[in-house]
Amino acid sequence: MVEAGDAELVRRIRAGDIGAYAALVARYRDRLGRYALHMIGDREDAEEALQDAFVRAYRSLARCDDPERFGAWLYGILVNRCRTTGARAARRRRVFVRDDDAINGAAHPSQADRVEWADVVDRALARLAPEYREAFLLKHVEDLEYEEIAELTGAGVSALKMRVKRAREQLQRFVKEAEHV
Amino acid sequence: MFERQDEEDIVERVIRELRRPVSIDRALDARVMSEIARPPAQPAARRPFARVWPWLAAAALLAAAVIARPWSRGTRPDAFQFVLIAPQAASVALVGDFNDWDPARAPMHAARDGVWATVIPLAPGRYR
Repeated sequence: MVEAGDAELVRRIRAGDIGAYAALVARYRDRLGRYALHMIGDREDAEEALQDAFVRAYRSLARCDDPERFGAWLYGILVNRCRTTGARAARRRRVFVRDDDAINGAAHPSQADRVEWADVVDRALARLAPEYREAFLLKHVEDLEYEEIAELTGAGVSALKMRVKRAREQLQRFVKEAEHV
Repeated sequence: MFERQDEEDIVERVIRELRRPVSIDRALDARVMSEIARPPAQPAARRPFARVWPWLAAAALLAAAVIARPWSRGTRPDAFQFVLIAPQAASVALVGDFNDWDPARAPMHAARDGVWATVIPLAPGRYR
């Protein structure tokens, strides 16, 4: 069975089939969740931002001009929610605590190494300025083009390229520092 | 050259780590669907008496003024300043038997933040 495309699901929702929205949520949940999690750093806050983005997207679906690009439009909403939630979360102490079960239960040395490496990456990412982290994640992790990122963030392409360059330089330095501790 | 290669390696390893799939609790789907099934909070509906609001406000203010005389002295002798906080009002006038209930004779002026004010001369006495 062929899954309905975004545009078809949006059309159904607009026609009153609220249930069709569940398919869109399931389709984008994990991918957008990954961005929110990396951007905010706290799972609970990230899930809150994600949930909020889905609800806002549903309520403003009439303003989604190109249903074919629902995913990109949803990204834009999430980027904004992450900025708001991230700023609020930054006022609290940003703490990365990896799942203790995962760490203690790492029976194999390579698994323990992987958990440790993931921790190094999380901490390095957390040290980036939010605008650097945002540009880096959208470009290199979510694989968006600079023009798409410019549309989502409102920043110019040259500014974004500079942010990504700085993010790369800083990440390299932060990872080296963490590995030499 | 080696340093550049080193940077590429570190950043590429970071990117590979960050690209690993993340699993979000599926309970989120139910929370979203439950939330959207609820009607969004609407701004307060326009009250049926909105049209008469300025008059009611002015009348209430005047009644209060007559009973309690809480006004402050204006800057001129025999001048009294009336102030009303009515952020939703489009226009406000002070009416009473001192101006033949004519709104055109004592319009209140919007100051800021929903504050309306006017200064009128009044001889000592009791007014409605």
